[in-house]
Amino acid sequence: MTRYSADRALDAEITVDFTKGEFTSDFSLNKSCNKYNSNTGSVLHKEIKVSYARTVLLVCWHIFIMPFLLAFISLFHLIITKYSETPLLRKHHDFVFKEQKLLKWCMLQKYGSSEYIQFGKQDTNKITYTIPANLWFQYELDGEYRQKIKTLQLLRNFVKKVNGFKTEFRQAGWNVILTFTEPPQNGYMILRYLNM
Amino acid sequence: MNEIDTKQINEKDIETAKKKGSIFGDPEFIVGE
Repeated sequence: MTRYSADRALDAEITVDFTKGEFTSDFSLNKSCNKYNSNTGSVLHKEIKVSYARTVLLVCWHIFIMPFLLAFISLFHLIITKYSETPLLRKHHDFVFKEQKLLKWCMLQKYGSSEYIQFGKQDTNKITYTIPANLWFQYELDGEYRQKIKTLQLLRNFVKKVNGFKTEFRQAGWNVILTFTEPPQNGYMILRYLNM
Repeated sequence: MNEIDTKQINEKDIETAKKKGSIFGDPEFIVGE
C-alpha cells in the first residue's frame, strides 16, 4: 500500500492522472463551499431481514455506544479541522489519515456502504457517478476499463435550487468521473462508497 | 499558499493504481487498497 497526501488536510477536488502519473488536489472552491455537505436519499422499498437478537444488539449499540463514539470523533474532527492549515498538522499526515480512517469506520457502522457496478461495452469514454460524500470511496477496475483508464476525478456536484426567495447552485454530493482514452469494450468497474 | 497541489505518483505504483485504489477527500490517495 502506498499513500499520497496533499500538503493540507482540507476537502479538495481530486484528479488522478494515470498517463502523467499525477495526483492533483484543488482547494480553490473550499472558501465558498460547505465541506460537510451530503444528500438524503428517498426510500423506494424497504425490507427488514434481521433477527430479533441482532435488532436488540443494534439498538443497544446505537443507544449506548454510538453517541460516545460520534461525540469523540466529532471533537477530534473539530480539532483537526481547526488546526488543519497549521504547519504542525501539515507535516503530520499520519495523524489526519488515522483520524479519517476512524471516521470512515464509524460512518460504515452507522450508514453502511454501497457498490456501483458498470460492466461490458460502453458508448462513451466517460463514466460519471454521484456519491453523497467524499469522506471515502474505493474503485476497482478490470479488463479494458483498467487498460484504457486515463483519469479519475472527484469533483463537487452542483445543482440549481429554487425557492420563492432565491435561486442558488448548491453542492449536492460529489461526482466521481472516470475518463478513458477510448470507450471500454469489456471488463468492469466497481465503485464502493459511504452512504452518508 | 497554492490552491492546487500536485504530487507525482511513482511509476511502479501506476499499474497497481489502475487496478484498485481508494480516495479520502481530505485528501489522500491510497494505491492498491
